[in-house]
Amino acid sequence: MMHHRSDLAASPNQTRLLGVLRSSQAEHASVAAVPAPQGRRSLLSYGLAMVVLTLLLLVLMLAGLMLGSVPVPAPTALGVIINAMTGSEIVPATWRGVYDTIIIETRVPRVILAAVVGATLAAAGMTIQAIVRNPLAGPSILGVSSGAATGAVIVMRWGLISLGAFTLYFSAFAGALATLVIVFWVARSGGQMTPTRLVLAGIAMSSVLSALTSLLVLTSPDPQLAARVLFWTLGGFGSAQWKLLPLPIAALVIGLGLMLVQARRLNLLMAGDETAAALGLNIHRFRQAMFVLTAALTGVMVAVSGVIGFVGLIVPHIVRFLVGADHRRALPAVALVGASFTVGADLVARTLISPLELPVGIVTALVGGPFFIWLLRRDAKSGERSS
Amino acid sequence: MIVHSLSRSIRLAGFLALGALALAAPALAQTYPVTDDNCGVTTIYDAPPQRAVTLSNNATELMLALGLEQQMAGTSYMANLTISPAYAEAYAKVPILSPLVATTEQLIDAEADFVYAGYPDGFSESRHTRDQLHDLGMQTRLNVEGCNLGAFGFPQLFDEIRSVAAIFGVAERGEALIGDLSARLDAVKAALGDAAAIPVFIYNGGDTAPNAVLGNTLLSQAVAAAGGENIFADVANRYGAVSWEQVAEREPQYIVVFYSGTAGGQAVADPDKELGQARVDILKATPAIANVPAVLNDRFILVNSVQGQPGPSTLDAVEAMARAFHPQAFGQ
Repeated sequence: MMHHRSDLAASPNQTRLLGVLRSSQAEHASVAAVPAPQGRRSLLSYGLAMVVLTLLLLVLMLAGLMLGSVPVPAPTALGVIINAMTGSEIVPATWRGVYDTIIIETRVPRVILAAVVGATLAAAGMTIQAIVRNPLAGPSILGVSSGAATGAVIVMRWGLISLGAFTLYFSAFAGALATLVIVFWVARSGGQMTPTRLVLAGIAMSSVLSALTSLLVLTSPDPQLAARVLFWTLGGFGSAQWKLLPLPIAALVIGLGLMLVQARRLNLLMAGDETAAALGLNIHRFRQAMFVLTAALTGVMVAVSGVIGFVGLIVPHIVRFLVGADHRRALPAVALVGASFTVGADLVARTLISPLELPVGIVTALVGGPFFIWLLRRDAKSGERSS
Repeated sequence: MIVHSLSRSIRLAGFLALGALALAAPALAQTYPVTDDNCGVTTIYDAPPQRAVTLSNNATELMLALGLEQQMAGTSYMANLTISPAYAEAYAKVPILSPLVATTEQLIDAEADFVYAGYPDGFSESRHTRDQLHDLGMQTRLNVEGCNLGAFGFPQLFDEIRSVAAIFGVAERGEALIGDLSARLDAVKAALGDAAAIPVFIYNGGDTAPNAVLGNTLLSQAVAAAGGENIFADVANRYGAVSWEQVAEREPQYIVVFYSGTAGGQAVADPDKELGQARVDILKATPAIANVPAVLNDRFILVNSVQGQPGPSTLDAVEAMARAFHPQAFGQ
């Protein structure tokens, strides 16, 4: 543990994040050296870490294909997967045809969706923590998740638009974008967007929208609304279908790509506004652009899977601990760990009280919440020691 | 406390008559395709489904009442409630897929070609949407009470029976069932004569604030058919939290204790005791309604969701409630 602490203390980013936590003036007070990512020590060598994380994700995804409410024998499940991947009947298909359907049409899209959503939320969370320089921040803090849920509920209640199977996904995304615009407008003052205003605007919008969602559900005569809204408020991957996958996958690829391109600037931002500005970064414009990117990504994910909390909040912490805080290295890792986290959580959600499924948001909150509290306590202790 | 055991004789007789009728008149040739417009989803049936799966107890009973057990691949969501004796034999012939709503995987495993939900939560993004099941080759229907925005009475229940019968090409069985249920409604009406309706509170759990069954439910209309008047019939919704003060102010003479077989999404072992009787205990222990006539005179009747949700057994509830509300009309 001592080793870890000294490791943490050696990271200016980590201690700065704590500084922001403790003091709202920190954004003005922070003066620190530009991070020197190349020299940062981390727990594992980066290459090894990435290999281990990739293997972990693959193992979890495979487990996700093996388990479900209908027991499919493991050799059968493997046979189905091998045949599907190779496109020919390498393993003689002696099993019932329904097992192909169960695995290919429900479990594979579900596992892929869980991985994509987890990867995107975790990457978005890491970026948000950088732009608001607050480790308490996550995608849900921007109000976008609540906005997506409200958008879906409004359309469900009044049936404003009809785009077939995509109606709700579109309306959830529209709700997220509308919230984004409002939060953006509230948080901007004099052409600047300060982290504090951004977080407060997001929290305020979240509260108002959550209340609005509850009001709409409670006053609605539509019997179906309550059951359907539960999906958006607690999240889940049960409705995964192949035809709904292209959009979130595209969002992940484009979003993660843009974040990686901006990774150096994100590092600069972590060093403090003055430092970043001194090094030639237009911090306000950059912060706004990154805010729009992460909010839009979150909106897409909430639209397809509901609100899944704590992924974007805690996974970045785990990853910084594993591979360090340099975004060029941490962003690919955070996507892998985020994917593993949600695939694993979905596995628990599906099997813990099988055949009943828990909303996956409950699992991520139950795992993520205590971890986050532990993280806060640990940081508080090391903070007391270092200050 | 009075807990009425259900009078089954009338319905049993009706069911036997229906069975005889079904035997005597083999399915009339019905023309396919059948177009089913249901809750905003239009489904075209080229032939009667052969592997139907039900997602709630009232859907199960409605199909069994139409004698469709041969065309069923599974039932689900009975929790630990008991099927009506009239359908017990047929029910035993169909696999029970799950005590709760069957999952997508279980539906595929059962090779379902038709999925019928009786409750609004049967189809949703958290389990399986109708669109999703359609893509998996399953046609779907939701009991119209599940998407109904206004009052829902016996004519709507009869329409539901007609629609399901049409999908399976057994229209004449549907009409026979409707005739049987109508006759039982008329018999209750005749027995009640001009007895004045008594105020009734339909209680659906809750202690700090009671959950009431409101005006848009079939149960509210079943209470009316039984010679009662739901004290919250004026609220145009299905369920909702009211206050104990309002219950006290509206002075119910009788309280119908409504309960399902699940609590917190899980099936409970003994719903009659853990949910039904437990709710009676809550009512008795609530000071705000201690002076309400129903509580003073110990007038409670248990109605579980097998009888209380729209299905053929709703008539069981009507008969039991009528006898409870107006014993003198039934010579008791």
